[in-house]
Parts: sequence; structure tokens; C-alpha cells
Amino acid sequence: MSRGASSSRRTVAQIAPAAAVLTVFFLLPGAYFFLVSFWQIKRYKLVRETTLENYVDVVREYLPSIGFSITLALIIAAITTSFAFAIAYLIRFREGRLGTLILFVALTTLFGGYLVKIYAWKTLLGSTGIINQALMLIGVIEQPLDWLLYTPLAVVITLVHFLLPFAILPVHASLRGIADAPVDAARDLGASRFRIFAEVVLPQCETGVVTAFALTFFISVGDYVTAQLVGGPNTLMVGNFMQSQFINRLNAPIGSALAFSTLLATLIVFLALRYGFRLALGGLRR
Amino acid sequence: MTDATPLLRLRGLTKSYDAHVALHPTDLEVERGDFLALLGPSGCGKTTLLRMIGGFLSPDRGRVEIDGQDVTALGPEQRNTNIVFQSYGLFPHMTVRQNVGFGLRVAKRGRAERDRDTAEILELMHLAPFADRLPAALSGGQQQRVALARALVMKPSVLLLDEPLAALDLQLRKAMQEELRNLHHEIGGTFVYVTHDQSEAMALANRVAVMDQGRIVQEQSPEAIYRHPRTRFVANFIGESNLLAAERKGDTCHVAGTSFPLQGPDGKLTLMVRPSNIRLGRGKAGCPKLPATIAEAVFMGDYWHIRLKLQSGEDLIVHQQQPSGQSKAPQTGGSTTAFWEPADCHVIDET
Repeated sequence: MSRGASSSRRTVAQIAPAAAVLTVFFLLPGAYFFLVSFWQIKRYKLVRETTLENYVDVVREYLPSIGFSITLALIIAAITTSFAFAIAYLIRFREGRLGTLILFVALTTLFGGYLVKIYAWKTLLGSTGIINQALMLIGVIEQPLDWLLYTPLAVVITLVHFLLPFAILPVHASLRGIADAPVDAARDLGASRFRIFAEVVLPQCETGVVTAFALTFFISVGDYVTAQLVGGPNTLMVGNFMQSQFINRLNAPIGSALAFSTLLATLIVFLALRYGFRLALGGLRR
Repeated sequence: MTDATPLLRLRGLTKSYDAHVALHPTDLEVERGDFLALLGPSGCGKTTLLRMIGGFLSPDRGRVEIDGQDVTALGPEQRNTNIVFQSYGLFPHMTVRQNVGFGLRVAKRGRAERDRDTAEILELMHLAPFADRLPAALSGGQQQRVALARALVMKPSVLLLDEPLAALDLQLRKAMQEELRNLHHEIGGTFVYVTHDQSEAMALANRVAVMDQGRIVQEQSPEAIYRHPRTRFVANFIGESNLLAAERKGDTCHVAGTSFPLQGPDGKLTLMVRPSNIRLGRGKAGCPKLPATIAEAVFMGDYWHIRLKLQSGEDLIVHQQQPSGQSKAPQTGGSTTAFWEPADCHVIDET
């Protein structure tokens, strides 16, 4: 009994620092802004009157932009997770020792900073960038393609590139946990490559895939710097509106309401997707 | 195609990894209904051979024929063989029933047929009560039976088993050996079984192929291999044996201070005598008699394990059964005479 008590005391001691940091820098501010989202700004002053008006405003004005952000983030997360899976699959099942090198290279790209990558793509995709110049040089096009930069496509390309290593890690970790014997056994029982992938490999790395998808999806929904720098004036993520509410219009209540609405919508979409994924995997086995 | 065609025929099968030869050119024929054990120490090439039969490895040269058809170029998914792995290879996210039904589902069998075949094999393997559990909720022996059931339900023309019992403890292994033997009697079929355990090979197989350094060195019935090992390696690997340096001159064999008549050409040779075939005492007419001293005697339960020192300085191991009711320990240091029936000693031709 005393051992149980001391081990639980040790557990408390172990999680205390992290819990303290999270509470002070995340939970308390979060809770505060949750309250703020029900208050209002009147004559440049915060008025503590509880109202749902901010949320009504959000639904009336920002629903399309929340929808756009979530859609774009879904596209980014889907592409990134697929690429990450393909790379991690190569590393685990095909390349042997070369696989370690591939993983190492993928991880070294983490050293390139976030902004560096954005500016790199800005240069690459621009009208005088290497892609347009090369295409013009070999005569595929005569004029530079103007839809490469300052479009949602540029945001997708940039974020996929930035997020890829983050997605490779969890998928690779879960693929490494899959033993050879069940895969061999599935082949032995006549399964095609696709069936092995869908019914033996994928269900066993569900956690890794879901983690990679969640990570890239949540980061993409919340990102606004990329859209600002390579998205052009017409690609506005919901984060850009939040930023402008807080900083330009000094309206924290609407900004907060927008943030919590986006969070809720994102969670609902994510949970629905995960449920569907589970259902699909289970359905295959019957 | 005549009935004389063996079910499985390997011709000149060869495999190397860089400079290391995993399998020298190997021929092997397995008849319908055979239970063949590939027996040898680790690294002898037995698993390489098995994986080639299953299609997991392609040979550098040579052919694999099943039922008279060349399947060398086919992968495991296209061969009518099924394998049971040492690590079982069960699908951890599927229940026992889903594991066993997987192959039938892949083969697009009808729902009713699948359910019936699965239920039948689960019943046969005593797995029915666990049908809806995940593999992680089963014991090692139960998991082993699931792996067997999953392969057997496909009714393979050859069932391949890669050290399937190696991960089990001794008692369970014995029980599973009996189960496997019964299974082979009941459902017939052709089994190729890889093991490094000679007693397991003897207990299960009707034919044993002993492998050493990438070659099959002897392939016969367990009894023939035990009685007439072709090389020193086989003699040492299958059961305990005494190997004595001897020389033959004019149809007389000279060994450890004695001689006895033995037909054959002149030259050096190695004599093999099993410890259980040697007796101690005063000797018997017509038997080679070797004077010796008892160096060590260990009581093993069923017999005394006795190490003798011969006059030549060589050791001779004797397993002496205790006559019932008698429990006198052999005296260490005492003199005795070892002898054996001429038929019980076997000449190994050194090449």
C-alpha cells in the first residue's frame, strides 16, 4: 500500500512541471479567451456582459472562410499523409539500408526553418522563378504561369513540404512495429499487394496514420503566415481573419469567438473522419 | 503425368548471398503423404530451402516442381503451398476466426463455404471456444494452432512448417508434436517441416533430410539415418554416438587395442557405435572386446551415462540400462570390458 502511495506521489512529481507550463501558458489563457468570446467591445472597451452575439456574427460572416480553411487543410493533410505513408512504406518494406538514409534526409529538412521554406517556394513558384523559367526554356510555355504563386495551390505546396517530415515520423514509427511474418503470411494466403496494404498493413498502423493526419490537419487549419506570404490577396485562411480581429480591429471577443468556432468545427470534422476510417477498415475484414 | 511423379521435386536448387553459399545445388523429392523433416543446425540452409519451396526466395539456379508443374517463377501467392512461421505471423488486429478465414476470403469462396470450412478447422484444432478472441489474448500454444489452422484450411498440396514449435516450452512442444502427428494421420497431406531438434524430427517425420553447410548430407527414414549415418556430422547430430579411429587390414579391423573380422578394402576408417548398444562385463563370443577403465558415471534416471577411457586414450560413452530392482552404481576407476554385437557397429566412410 505504501508502495502504491509513493509511486502515485512520484507520478504526480513527474507530470507536475509539464502540467504547470500547460496550465499557465495554455489552459488559463484559453479559458480566459473562452470567456472573452462571450463578451463585447463597446466604445473600444471590453464589456463583461455575457452574450452569444459574437458567435452569431461568426456564423453570419465567417462560416465560408472557416469552411474554406478546413477544406484546404483537409487537402493538405490528405496529400501530406499519403506522401508520408508512401515514403515511410518505402523505408520500412522496400529499401533496406537505403531506407535509413531516406529517413535521415527527410529529417534533415527539419533544419530548414518555416519562413525559409515559405520564401524558398515564393522564389521557386514566382514568374521569374526556376519552374517558370525552366518551362519557358524547354518551350512548354511562352508566358510564365501566373497560377503557381499567390493562389491556394501555392499554400498547399508550401505547407505539404513543410509538414512532410512531421507526418513521416509517426507513420514510420508505427510501420516499424509491423512484423514481417504477418505480411509474408498474407502473401502466402494469396493476398495481392493492395489487399496486404489495406487489410494487414494499414490497420496495424492506424494510430500512426491518424496522428500524422491530425497533426498536419490541425497545423494547416491554424496557419495564416503561409497564406499571407504565398497565397495572394484572395487566399485568406480563417487565421488571417483572427489575426486581423485581434490586431487590426482590436476586437478580441469576435476573434476569440472565431477561434473557438474554428476549433469546434475542426474537431467535429476530424472525429467524423476518424470514425469513417475505422468503419472502412473494419468493413474490409468482414 | 504418371503416378510416379513425386508431389514436390527440387532440381539443382542453388542460392548464394555474395560470397556465402546458402544452398549448394540441391535435389529433393517428396512423395504425396510424406512428412519430411529438414534437420540441421542453424545456418545449414534448411530455412532457405523451405522459403524457396514456399516462393518467398527465388533460387539463383534450379527448379521447384509441384505436382509436375514448374513453379519456380511463381510467388507464394500463386503457389498451392502454405506456411506456418516460427513467429506464427498471425494478424494481430483480426480475431481467430478472421485470421483463419482470411485465405478463403482472398480466394473469393462463398460466404457459406467459408463459414463452414472455418468452423470445421477451428473444431478440429480445438479452437472453437476462442474463435472471437484476438491473438494477443491467446497462449503460445493456442496461437500456434491458429497459425496451423489458417494454413490447413487452404488445403495446401504442401504444408510448410518453419520451426513451428521452437517458441514453446518443452512440455507444450511434446503435446503439440503428438497433435501434429495425429493431424497428419487424420487429414493426410504432405508436410515439410524445418527443425534443428533431432528428437522432434525423429518423432514426427517418416523421412528426414539432414542438412549441413548448405547441403543435404543424408535423406532417409529416421531409423536408417540413426543406424547408418553416412558422415561424422550426421552421426554426431542424430543421437549420441562414439566415433573411433580404426584401421582395416586383410579383412580385420584394428581398434583401440583389439581387433575383429570386418570385410572390406584396406585403409583407415571411422567406426560408429551408439552408447546404448555397448555393454559392459566379461564379453561375449564373436563380439569385439575393448578393455577400459570407468572414468565417470552419471545417473540419468533411465540409464547410467558412463564415460570409459580406452587403452588408446579415446573416450567411449556407454548408456547402461539398469536391470530392474538392481541399483548398484558403476565404480569409478574400476576396470571393465566394453563389447558390442558386430551388427551394431557402423563404418563411416571418410572421403
